[in-house]
Amino acid sequence: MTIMKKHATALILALGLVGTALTPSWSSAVINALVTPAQARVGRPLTPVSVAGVGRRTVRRCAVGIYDC
Amino acid sequence: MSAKMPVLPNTLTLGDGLREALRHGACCCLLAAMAAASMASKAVAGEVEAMALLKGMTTYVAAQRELSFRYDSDLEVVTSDKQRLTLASSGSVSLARPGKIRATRSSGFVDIESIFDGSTFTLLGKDQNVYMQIPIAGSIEVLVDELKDKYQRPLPAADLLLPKAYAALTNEVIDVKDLGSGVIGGVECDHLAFRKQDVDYQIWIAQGDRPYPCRYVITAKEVLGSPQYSVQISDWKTGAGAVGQDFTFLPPEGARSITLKELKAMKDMGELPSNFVREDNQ
Repeated sequence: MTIMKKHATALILALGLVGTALTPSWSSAVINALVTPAQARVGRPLTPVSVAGVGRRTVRRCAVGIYDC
Repeated sequence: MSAKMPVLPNTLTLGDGLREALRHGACCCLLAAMAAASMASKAVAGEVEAMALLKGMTTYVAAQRELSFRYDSDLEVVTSDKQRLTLASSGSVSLARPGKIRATRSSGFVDIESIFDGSTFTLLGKDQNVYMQIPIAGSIEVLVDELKDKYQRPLPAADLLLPKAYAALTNEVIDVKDLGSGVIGGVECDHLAFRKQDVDYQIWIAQGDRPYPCRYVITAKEVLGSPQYSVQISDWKTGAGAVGQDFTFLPPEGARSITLKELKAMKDMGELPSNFVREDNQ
């Protein structure tokens, strides 16, 4: 990720965009657009964000408190 | 909070029978029994105190008709190769009982605002400039239940804000601990821990005359890797001091109305960023 950001920054420098109308926030957006974040494969269920209604085995069954389960 | 130690008498008066028992080597048994009784007494005292502190917090929060706060939350997820990762976000909540709430949540991949005015729930995606509306009539309690049960979008930390919070938090609790105190954001808070069958949770409650929740941590002990969800609260304000007490939704310029189905199909509008791929591996 860091190496890719360095490459993206180098690309911006190479294109001569620094010091032009490119604002810091825009350059950050450009870098983000050029960099693909690492992919993570996560299991179900997600961590519950509420304990209301949570009882025995309800989490595994995605019964309550879990986002988009 | 100072943990209350059981008071033991300084001197014991032993009768003839007891002296005889001691002479016959029952000393160890007696001391063990006394120690066990002392520990049981301490544990019960801790539980009672913990429940009282929780009751005090939920009663205080439910009594605030207007309140606002900021929060930082961490949602942990466990990858298929057992790496635990944390998704960090921040936001604010402002509510006016019985039926108005506005909440924001920002993370690196999403910037959303939820507004409920007692009759309509609106979800605004600021980055995408889209909004979705569904009719929900009633109190914040109705909204929270409907979002959780019908739409599978539970509002984080809603457990702490509702009038039924104490019942929801203590229902089916199998273990209670009063762990003393901790300092969060410079505020000394009582530290309590509770266990249910599927989850453990801890809560820190501000000491003093404003017993608001400082931090709330849920541990999913039945999920591989025992990931946690935590929310830390700051800038707690109540009454006339509460900020963000405007619950009217005005679509930003150029905002597009979308359906719930469209919302579900959109990337980066859920709890996970699009580079987090869900699997059915548990």
